[in-house]
Amino acid sequence: MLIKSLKMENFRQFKGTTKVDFSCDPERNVTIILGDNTFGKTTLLQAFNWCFYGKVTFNQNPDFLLNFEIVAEMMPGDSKNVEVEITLIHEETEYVISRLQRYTFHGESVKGEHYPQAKVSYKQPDGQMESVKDVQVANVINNILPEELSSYFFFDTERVNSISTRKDVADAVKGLLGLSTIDSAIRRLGKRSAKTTVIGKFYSDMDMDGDAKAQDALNKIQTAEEKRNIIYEQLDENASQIKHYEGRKEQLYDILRDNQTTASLQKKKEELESIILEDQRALEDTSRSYFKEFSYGSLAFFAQPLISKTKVFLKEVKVDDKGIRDLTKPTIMELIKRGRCICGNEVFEGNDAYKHLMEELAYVPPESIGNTVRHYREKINSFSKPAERTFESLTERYESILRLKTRIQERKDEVSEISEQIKGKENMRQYEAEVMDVKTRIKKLNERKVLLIRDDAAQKNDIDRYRKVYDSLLAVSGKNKLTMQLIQYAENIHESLTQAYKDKEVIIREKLEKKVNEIFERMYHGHRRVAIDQKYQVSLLTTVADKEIAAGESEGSNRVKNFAFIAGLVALAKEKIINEGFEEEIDISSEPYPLVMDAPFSNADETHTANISKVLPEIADQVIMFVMQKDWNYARTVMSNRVGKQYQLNKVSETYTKLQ
Amino acid sequence: MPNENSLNKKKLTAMTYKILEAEEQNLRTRAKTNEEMVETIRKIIMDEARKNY
Repeated sequence: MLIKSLKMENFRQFKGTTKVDFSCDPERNVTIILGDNTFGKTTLLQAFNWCFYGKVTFNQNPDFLLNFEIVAEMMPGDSKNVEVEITLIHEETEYVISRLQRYTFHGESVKGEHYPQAKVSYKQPDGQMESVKDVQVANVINNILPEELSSYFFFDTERVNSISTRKDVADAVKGLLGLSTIDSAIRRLGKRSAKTTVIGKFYSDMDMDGDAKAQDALNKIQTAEEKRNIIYEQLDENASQIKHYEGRKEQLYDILRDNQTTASLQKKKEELESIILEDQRALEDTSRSYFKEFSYGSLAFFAQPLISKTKVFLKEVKVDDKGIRDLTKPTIMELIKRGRCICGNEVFEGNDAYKHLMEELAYVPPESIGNTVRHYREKINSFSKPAERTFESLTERYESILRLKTRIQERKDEVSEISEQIKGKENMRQYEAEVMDVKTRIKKLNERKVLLIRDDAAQKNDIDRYRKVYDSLLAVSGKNKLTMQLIQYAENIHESLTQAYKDKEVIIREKLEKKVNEIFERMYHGHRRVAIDQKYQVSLLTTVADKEIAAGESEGSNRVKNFAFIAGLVALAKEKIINEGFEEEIDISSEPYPLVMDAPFSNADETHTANISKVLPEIADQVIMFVMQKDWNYARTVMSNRVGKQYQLNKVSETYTKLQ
Repeated sequence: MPNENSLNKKKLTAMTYKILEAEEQNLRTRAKTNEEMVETIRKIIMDEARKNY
């Protein structure tokens, strides 16, 4: 589809007739319409939507399309039309699509009449215009451009978030890329049991008068075919359930893998906590020993300087070892006074005992201190002995305390780090139970699949058997022989097209994803990848630690992603992807598509603007852009040599814009 | 499974081509109803089958 022109009549602020011719020149395939905010750029985009699908998304008065200045001039009973007409080329045929709504001044206000129907006409090879039947208008428009994809083709950049992210556009994409043609052919060829299809009708043509056996065989074939259809449906349902549970299984494995890491971290944390507990006990023991040793050994340790001085002082003292240890003068005097020694002998002046005691007085203080000093030396030597080890031992214990404290702190830090990592992680057991459940379900579904396939094979055997019977009974007549051959042709075509459809369904998504990523890489200055799911919804992935995750999408990246998607679709639509794979080339025409974009550079940085401006005209055969002057200043440097037509929106008033 | 032995490959290709062409043409214009398209395809198959290559 290439758009030749857009003609508007009183459509919102476009009062009177406004016609825009778009460039279809392959070398200069860009049409630029410049206009600042509120000048009517979005209205132009909405004109496309309204003409094609009868829908608009204006913020204010979306249901009232007639120009307000025209409304102001109307008198009671007056009628005026709003009309949009688009002329386009699709599959080498010129189409005119138009939509008209009549507004009439009734009572006190102007109101639009019934829901406006579109009209479509196309130019026949002889140049005559032929109208499409009213009931087929929507189908023809959807074939030209599926409504599900209109938000991409008529791209409102500033309302990019309004593009549905959940809508299944798979059928629309497949249709756009040519699969609708194959699908229609398959449905119409049909099967023997469907009497309104090509194959069913051929069967009805068979001459079976009077041949009850043939009729019986045919009935059995048709019954078996119906059973096979039911089996196919059950197989499809089964396959879809297997796919669902396989997907869930993978998700659960991922969770369990994550949880296994959590479990090992949890184990490590517990081990560390146990070691910390042991270290804390050791710290307490060591600290207790340290203080105990300090209590016992500190006196001797700290007394050493004083004792050393005493030793030096007493060094010169003569040590006499004749006296009795710890015997004092008062003790001797007390024994003399008592008159009896402790050995029992009587003591009185002059006897031997008395003399011995008096002699002992010469060896005790104050007559002599030698004995005392000797005893003192022995005592301090014994007192100082443990002090030799006290300092060394206290130092060792103190270092041990410091080591333990450091180690405990390091392990506590490690425990905190692990706690942070495993915070909020789910309980693994519930997932393990679910994995078991999912595995059981998959096993049962696979068993059911085997049974269904076996059942299908049995039905197929029946069909083959009865078909041989049937064919042998019917082949008797020449007419039936010919009809049988026609059926064989039709069934052969049906089978090859069905296979082609299946193959291409897979190929299309793969090729589209590849193409979209090629374009995305050219447009986006970053490191992301576009993924396309089964519903042909696109999302951005980024790689973190060798794992692809769906990162957040900013307005800018979201826009580039959508541009890349639609540009990829446009690029692929031009390729003869559907034609590939047939034994001889079958020319299902490929189709160029335009990109119609409102404010494509809005909020885009200079690099993105330059990339988008360069890539889009290379990929699409036609680019139509409604751009603000300030954005165009950046884009022009890259794009100006591709511009075939350029217009300027001139805002005469809030309700009247002219195109120049 | 259709018996391919008695089928002419050239005719099969021509039929497939013409059926797809007819479908494509009708997707553009929806000029023919389903019934008319079924008849068109039947005719394509019958005409091609009769031809002598």
